[in-house]
Amino acid sequence: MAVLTMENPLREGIRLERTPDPCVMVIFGASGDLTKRKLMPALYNLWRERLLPAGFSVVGFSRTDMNDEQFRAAMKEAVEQFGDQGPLNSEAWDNFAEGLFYLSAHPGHPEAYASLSSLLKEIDRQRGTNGNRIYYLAVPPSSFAGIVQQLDAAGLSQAEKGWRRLIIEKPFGHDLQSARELNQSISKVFHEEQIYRIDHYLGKETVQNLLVFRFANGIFEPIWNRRYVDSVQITAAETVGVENRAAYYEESGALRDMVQNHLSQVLALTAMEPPASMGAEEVRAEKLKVLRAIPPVTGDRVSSCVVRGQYGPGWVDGKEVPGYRSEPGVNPKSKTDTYVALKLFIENWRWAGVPFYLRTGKRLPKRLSEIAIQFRQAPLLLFNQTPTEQMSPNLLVIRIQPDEGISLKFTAKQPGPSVHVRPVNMDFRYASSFGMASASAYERLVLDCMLGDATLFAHRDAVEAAWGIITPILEAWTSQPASSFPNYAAGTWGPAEAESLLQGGGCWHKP
Amino acid sequence: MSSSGVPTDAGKVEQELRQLWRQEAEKSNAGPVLCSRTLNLIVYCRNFADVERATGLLDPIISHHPCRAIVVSPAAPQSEEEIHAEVSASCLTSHAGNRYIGRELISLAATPSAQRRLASIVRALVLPDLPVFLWWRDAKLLGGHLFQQLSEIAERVILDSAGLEDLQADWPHVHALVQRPRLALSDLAWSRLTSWRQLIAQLFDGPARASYLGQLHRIVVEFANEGSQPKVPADALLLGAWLARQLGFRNPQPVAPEDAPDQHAARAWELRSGTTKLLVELRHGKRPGTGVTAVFLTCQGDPQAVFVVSRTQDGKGLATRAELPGRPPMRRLVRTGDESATCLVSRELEILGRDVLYEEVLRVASELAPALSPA
Repeated sequence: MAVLTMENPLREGIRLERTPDPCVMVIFGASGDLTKRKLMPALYNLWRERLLPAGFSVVGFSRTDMNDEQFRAAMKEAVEQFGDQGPLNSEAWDNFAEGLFYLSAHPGHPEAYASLSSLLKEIDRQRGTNGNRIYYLAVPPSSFAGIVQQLDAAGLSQAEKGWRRLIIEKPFGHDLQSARELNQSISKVFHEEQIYRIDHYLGKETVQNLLVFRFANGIFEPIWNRRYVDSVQITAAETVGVENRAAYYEESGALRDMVQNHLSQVLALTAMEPPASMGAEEVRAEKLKVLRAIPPVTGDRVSSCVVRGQYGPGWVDGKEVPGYRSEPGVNPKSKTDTYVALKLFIENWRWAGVPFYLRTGKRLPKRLSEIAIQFRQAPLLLFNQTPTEQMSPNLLVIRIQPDEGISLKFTAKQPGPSVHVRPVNMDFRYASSFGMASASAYERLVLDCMLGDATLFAHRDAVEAAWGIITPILEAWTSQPASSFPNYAAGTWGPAEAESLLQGGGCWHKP
Repeated sequence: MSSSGVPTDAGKVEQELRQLWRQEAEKSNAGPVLCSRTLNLIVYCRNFADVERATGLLDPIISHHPCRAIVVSPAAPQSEEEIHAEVSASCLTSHAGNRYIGRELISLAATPSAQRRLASIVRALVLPDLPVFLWWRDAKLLGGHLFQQLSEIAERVILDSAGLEDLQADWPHVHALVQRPRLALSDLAWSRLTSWRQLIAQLFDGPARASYLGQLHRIVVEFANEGSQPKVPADALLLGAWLARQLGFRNPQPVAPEDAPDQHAARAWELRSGTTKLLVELRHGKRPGTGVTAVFLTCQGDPQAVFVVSRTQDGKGLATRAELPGRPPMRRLVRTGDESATCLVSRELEILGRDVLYEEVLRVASELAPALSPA
């Protein structure tokens, strides 16, 4: 019979939607903000959309004293508050909540893991989850190693049946040395293919579309190189300040918080060579090659290739906001960078000599993330009423958020007897072209992990390569603390010095 | 923007559209109007009233899929023109304030004598280099000349086999469509089964559950319909055919349904895979709604394992139940996807390739269909 040759023949051809094996997700830090704001709304949405298997279960693990019912009530409140689906259908929620369990325990105590093991076996028996587990560490990185060791000691890290996977959140270390130590301690327990380092930027639709845009369209790849590209600008701008993350951010700063992970991953996807296939290993290998081809900015070059900033008071979106040093929990003499702009080069045949400008900051005028590819200028002055230097170069902008989409700026003649040219934008927007709301980045990534697809997760080598790029900058900054902070007003595009990074009198793309 | 009574050759219609866009561009100093269209959508409506219904449905579809829509219909009885044309267009505005051509709607209503000209006008109005979809809203005329001509322009035909009045007679027309080499077929009745298929599949995920598939011996698909005569709807036939095909059973032989209180309202087939038999029954049930209302999958054994998927009382959700020997029943409740025509057609417009599985299921359904004749 056909059913004997295929695990589940009814799965064939169910288009658009993928469903993983029944599994249990154990969330360490289940009473924390990440669980409430992101994880639980994402899981509930996946459940509602029938993308999770029957029997899917969650075990919340945290020190907070709660029972199953209290945990379910807290998660319901969180989904109502932070989800995007409006009022919950109580019947559907109750059905989802039947799979939510809670274990109040100290993550450092071995007996907690014995209890966890018993609970997981019982869930396997009752809900058919077959030993499949995801351990989601929604806890500070300082707790990662301890939890991982305890899971190992309790025999929970490797599967006799089913699969075991680990999801960890950034930061993956605070410099190259600590990243290596973290990777080593985790890899003593979990194999690399079991580890999913989540970077929610990579779950965004446009980031994924970048690969399709580059490798499914024949017209772009031939011009995607040093011969036609003048420069690349990658921007991740936030309007918010430090909010309630002052303790973390004071230690981190913009370079660690954004460049090491989000921006370096986006840079790698933008610049990588076509992979042999879209398999996780092949894509991650090509991204790694890009990161390894970036020479670290060291010594005197730091001051000419990197600009750091910290916001002072100002106005954002019509509201007066305080400077960083006046934010709650921030040292009034803080030297922490809330803005950074870098000029990097990729030393390979495709990109040699093309500057990649990266910038990110808090309290900038707009919240947006985008990649702007500026092409070389037309070489000849053919239109005598419009000097070549006034003609805008072609610009391809890939917007990651908000208003995800792609636009191409080109030059066109204005109608009339004279030759007057003007730039026009040709826009492709997801919302207007496909008219559908994309799944949240967490939904996509959590589902990918359940399906065992690591393409959009960071490999340890890539993490270490990214730290290898920014650690020399951090070291240079330590030896030469910033003297002019704050150096940009909230609501502006960062310190004026950032303009000096751009070669040939160029300027930052103004989104 | 709109114009009515447009002279009916394609060049004049295009000219009228250009005029509308020029007016839009001159309205303000907001810069050039840009263009964002992803496909052509030809919609055939069975009568004038259906044009109004379809036009209402098109607005949300076009907002999801910027396109040129060409609505084709028979002319109103009192029409004096052989072919009456109307055009309208509207802009979308982007986050950055740019204006886009997002929607062009051309309506063509033809008297019977002018219908032979329609396809040539439509062919000339189709935007080049974009996929062409034909949404055929009248299953009765599937074998007709106009359908033949319009479907030759299209790369994909969207129809709803649930609208077929006589499954036994009409099914061959549907089956014939998938034999055409360059035409893909979307069947909204099949699309409505996506949630059902997904939930049924999920019941057998994992090695332990999948093993029950080998023990299935009886499948009952329960349906409801609005007519006084309980006729088997297309989606029930497709679901039964899908299950039989996926489980590897062949050679359906009509048999008498088991336990059916009304033998006229049920049909059954015995299928084989080697020496193993499977009974597939389609029968009218008492649950409210239309189309498929419940599916029961029963395994051999004592006690038997039973898997059930059924529509909830309010019609907005599906409930699953797995009753396995020695275990408490596992229940699950999820919402169905949006099953409105707007949503279903929108989803079909996202798909360009052929649905090979559907075509295979259609073949199996064609083997079952002859037994649908009155008992």
